Amino acid sequence: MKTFEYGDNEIGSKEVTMSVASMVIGFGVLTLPRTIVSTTNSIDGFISIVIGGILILFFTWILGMLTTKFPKKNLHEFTSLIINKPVATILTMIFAFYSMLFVSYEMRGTADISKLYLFDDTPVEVIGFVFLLVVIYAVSGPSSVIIRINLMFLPIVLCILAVLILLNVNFFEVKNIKPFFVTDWLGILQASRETIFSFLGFETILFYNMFLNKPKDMVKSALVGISIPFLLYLLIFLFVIGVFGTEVTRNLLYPTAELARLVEIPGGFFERFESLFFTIWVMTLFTTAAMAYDVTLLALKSVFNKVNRMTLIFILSPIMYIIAMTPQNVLELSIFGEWISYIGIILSMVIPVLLLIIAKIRGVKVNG
Amino acid sequence: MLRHIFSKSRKSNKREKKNQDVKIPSLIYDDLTENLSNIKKILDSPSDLIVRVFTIGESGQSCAVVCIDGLVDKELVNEEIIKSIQISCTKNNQELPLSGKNILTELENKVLSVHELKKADTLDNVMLAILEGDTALFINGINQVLLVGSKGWAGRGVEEPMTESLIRGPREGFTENIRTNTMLIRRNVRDPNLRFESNKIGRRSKKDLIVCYIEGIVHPEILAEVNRRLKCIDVDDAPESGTIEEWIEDSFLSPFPQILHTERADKVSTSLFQGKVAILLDGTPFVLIAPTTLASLFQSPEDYYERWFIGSLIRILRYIAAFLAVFLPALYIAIVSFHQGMIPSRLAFSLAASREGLPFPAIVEALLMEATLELLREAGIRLPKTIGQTIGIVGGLVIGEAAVQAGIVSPVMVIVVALTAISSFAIPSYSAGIAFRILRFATMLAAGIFGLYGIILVYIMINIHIARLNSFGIPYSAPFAPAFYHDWKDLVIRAPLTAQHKRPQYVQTVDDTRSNKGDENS
Amino acid sequence: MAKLMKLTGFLCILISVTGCWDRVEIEERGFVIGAAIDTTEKSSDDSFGTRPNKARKEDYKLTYQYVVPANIQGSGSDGQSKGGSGGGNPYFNVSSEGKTIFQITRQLSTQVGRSPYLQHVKIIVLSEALSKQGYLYDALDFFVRDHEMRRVAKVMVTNGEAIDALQVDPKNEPMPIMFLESITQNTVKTAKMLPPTNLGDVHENLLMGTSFVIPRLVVNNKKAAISGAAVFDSQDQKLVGTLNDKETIGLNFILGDIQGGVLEFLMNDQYFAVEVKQAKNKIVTNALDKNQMKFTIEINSEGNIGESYGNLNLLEPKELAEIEKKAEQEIELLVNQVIEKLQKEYKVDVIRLGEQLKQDHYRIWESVKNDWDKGENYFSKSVIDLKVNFKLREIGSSIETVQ
Repeated sequence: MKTFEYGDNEIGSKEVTMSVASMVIGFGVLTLPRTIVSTTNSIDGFISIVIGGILILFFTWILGMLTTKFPKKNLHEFTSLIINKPVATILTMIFAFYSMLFVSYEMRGTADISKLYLFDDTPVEVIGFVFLLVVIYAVSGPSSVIIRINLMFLPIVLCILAVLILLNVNFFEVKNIKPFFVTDWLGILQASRETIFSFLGFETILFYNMFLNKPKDMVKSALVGISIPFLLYLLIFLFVIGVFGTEVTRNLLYPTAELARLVEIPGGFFERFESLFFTIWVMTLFTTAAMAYDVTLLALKSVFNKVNRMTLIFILSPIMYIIAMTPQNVLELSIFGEWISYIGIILSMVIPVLLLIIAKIRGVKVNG
Repeated sequence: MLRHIFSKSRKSNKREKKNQDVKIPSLIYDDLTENLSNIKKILDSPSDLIVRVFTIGESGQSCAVVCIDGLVDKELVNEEIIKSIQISCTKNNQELPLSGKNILTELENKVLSVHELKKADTLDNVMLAILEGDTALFINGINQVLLVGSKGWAGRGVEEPMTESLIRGPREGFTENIRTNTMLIRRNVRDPNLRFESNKIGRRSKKDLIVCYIEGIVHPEILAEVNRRLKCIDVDDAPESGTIEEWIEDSFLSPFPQILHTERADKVSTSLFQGKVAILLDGTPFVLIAPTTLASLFQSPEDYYERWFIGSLIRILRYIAAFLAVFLPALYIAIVSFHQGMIPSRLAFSLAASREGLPFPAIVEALLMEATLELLREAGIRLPKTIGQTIGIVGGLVIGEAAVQAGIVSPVMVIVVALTAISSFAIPSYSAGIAFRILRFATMLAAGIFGLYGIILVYIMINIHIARLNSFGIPYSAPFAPAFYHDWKDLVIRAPLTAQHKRPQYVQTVDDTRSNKGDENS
Repeated sequence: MAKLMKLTGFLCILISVTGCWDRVEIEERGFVIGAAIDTTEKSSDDSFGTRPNKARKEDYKLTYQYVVPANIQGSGSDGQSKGGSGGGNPYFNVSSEGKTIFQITRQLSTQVGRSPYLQHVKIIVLSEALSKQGYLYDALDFFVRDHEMRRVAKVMVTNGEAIDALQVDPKNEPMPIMFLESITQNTVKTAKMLPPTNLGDVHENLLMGTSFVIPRLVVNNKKAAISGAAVFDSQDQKLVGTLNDKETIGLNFILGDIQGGVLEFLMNDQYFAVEVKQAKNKIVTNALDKNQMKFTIEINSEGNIGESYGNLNLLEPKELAEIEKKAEQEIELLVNQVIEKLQKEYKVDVIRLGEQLKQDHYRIWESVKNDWDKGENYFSKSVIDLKVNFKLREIGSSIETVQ
């Protein structure tokens, strides 16, 4: 069976992989090395990432199992099958709210970084506003639009990251990586918590399930999708530490972007690589925000069936904008991010496990 | 999203159809004079209407030949119709049956030596036939009319297509005559499965429209969709296939063409083999091909006729040219106005030196130069061939040089604009070129406000737009997304023909294979 | 409803075009390519109410070298330019004084029409006086923090006033800073200069709390030369001393940073020159006894023959072996000289032994790191052994020059 049948709105397994990868690669990569190194030393953060990654893979697997049990149904539908309708509605609403906060966070993060690296005087409000406009444009079509965009953008983003890493090979010093294994377990676990924050985003498969062509592939594609950011984080972390060393990384606000600053293209053709890098990075931030917005809309639509998509967009967008502009500085923004991440952990890890267990206990099956 | 805003106003402006057909009495009477006077009344006796009354041989039965001068092949009418009837009836010296149908059958079988003969019962059909260039043969006392195919008018011969000329490849282009066009297609596709479905378009123009496809390859739903959309067209006239295109395309707001048009016969036949549908319209040499994707805008038949490596490189060049054509001025604006740190110091200093003392900021300068270039281009099209070329080159150089000397624009701007113009000519499809020109202005504005951020936002918006566009149900961004990896062999590179042995997947053809891989031992 | 949506649509687009806040045309930028920081006596203007106790008493004098792009074309030796403005200097220096670098930078916009644009700064020069007072990190903080700056801007310490560095006579470059920068790129030719130190490197060293060296610029009467190194200690980031040319060569050998250099020694009582192409080092740590740690530095170097004294038969294996041995001895001499100076006189570890210790024996490092080259100063107590290997690769195109 082909992934695209003529005229339909369905997606295949490749698309799920790319979507999950796109969603997870977002804001986290830029700050990840610093947050890990704040509690660990040198290359030991590697272990934290591995621990975090394995944990995430496990939970993705759980999510995958949950969704394969209920092919072509979204969260609301199968939760009402598992428990009952009111609980499903509440759960979906919380999910929608969480996604909304996520969009606001991404939007504000993008605006902040753009202001730091690309602009000087332009107010953050305006930067965030036009970003929101573009996201609205993306979201006002069917969901397949965003998924196709992921497919188009992800290779470019991965390319630029590969270029970034390749061009920094010269600065890589092995001595910055040593010594090994000197941090205590507490530090490593604390850092794992930070990595888990960066991995959040895979819960979108709960909603994209209803578009999937071959439901059985969900688990595999989602796992492959998560492993892309996993490998990416490992690689980037390795390089940031190798180039900068632990102490410096602790003091850089956005270590990955600083990595881009170091790049000197041979021949001196092009100087500020970080502007280019960051410009392309906006693409992946955009896909994350657009997907989160799409999930919000899907969630709300599954609860309120009759409402028009465009009406929802017009109502939600101002709210999101106001929420995004509320944090006053970087510190408040990171606290905001932490809250969102905690909610995200509950929603994407704890609740699906509960759902799966209840489903297994009750022996809920879907007919046909 | 724009469509949502605009479509609501579109729906509220529905006009009611008024039947404005002139009443044509639909009967053919037995009496010859009555029929002839009816026809003269309907057409209001134009000067090119020929009514030739004569008798059938010796029988004394009068008949009349009605045709339109200029549309008919005079020799055929004279020799084969009038002469045959006049002479052969005399020669055979037969008693012609006086009653109706037998005369017709007699004429049909033994007398008229023409290859196209039909009978008509109603006057509308007779009118239509006459206006198309057939000859109507009225016989006194019979209420049926013989329609003889006698189309022959002055038209353009088969020439090299003017808009798409290649270095290597057939030089036969379509003409305005739909019969010539179908002939050209048939010469390339000698498959009995080739189907031509005829329709008539235009209430008043009643032009021939032929939907062409190869049965067994094309996906039936695509064909059904094409037919469905064509049926919805209700216009007075469809002067060019562009009108049809506008009626049946998916999104009229998009700058991108969702239906390809071409003058080349080989392009049409290749598309038919890929599983696409061709639409021919009488009166225009431009044939429509549906469905289309973004990738087709970058494909030219020449890629396939030359060696594959060269074809691939040139195709990559086209992609780069498309990128430059849209983004180069915007990048210049962004770098010069916002991100001066991105260029090497020495280049930055030379740029600053060359821009010293200029009155306008980079965005204004760029818009000015681009607007001038667009004007030059439009002017160059209208002028006769020889002057047009010179104006283009000389005008560009002279104006650019003069502007630099006057201190209005910087020399780098002239280079940028020239490079952009050259890049936009490298794209094989003219409508795509126009689309890129529009996008270029949008990108320049965005760059002028937000710099690189603006450029990337516009890039994202263009991508969103392409992702949302469908062409007859096929996503416009296929085979980039959804990813049909097999089609990537023909996307940015052109893989050797021995590697392409399946049809493109995005069209979902019924029959997959198009070439045999061949025996390894041979 | 449709009208409302259309209205909002237009409003949204309108808001975006209300201003292009960041648009500054390239010709309006004041390109700064170099900065020089000096200290001055405290100015009379005391805008802080109370006399600061801990804060720095001296003021900074900051000089920026601006580029005048219009005058770059055709300037230089002949001074004739074509097309446009007449011959003029392609650069000019502007100075100002103040308490913080940030303030001074902004203050300069009162003197120069185009506000400083720091994205193309190539070199930052600090005066020796400033470094001796330990204000290095203070002065550089602005440059590290500002997002316009590049981390690859080079830092140098000059003898005398830093402002003199900006006024050297640029021989074949349009501007003094470009001239200085082109000198720094010559490390492939000689090892008497340290490889250029970036702002990023300095920042790294400051954060890691190690001692470091910065290339030294010697300015004499409008002539400049980069030679030697300035040594900073890790405790106060003060300049504790300088290394001269020979010692710098030794330092480069230890650090493995040689990209090209010359060794001169006597061979059969004649002068002989060998070109060093590269040097790799390996350090083995033996940290059993804290008070007397032993480091064995193994230097592997290779090079070619640069200049011979005439009738030496360079194809003789015996001769070659002798040359290699002499070269090794020379290297040992240089390296020992510098180690001696560092350990005994300056007592700072700029040869990165501490880092080696950290890599190899982390726990021990943790226990001694606060006393490594300050306080107890285990560095100066440690014993450093040398092992040098030198390999000759090529002898050039001629064997003997004279019979």
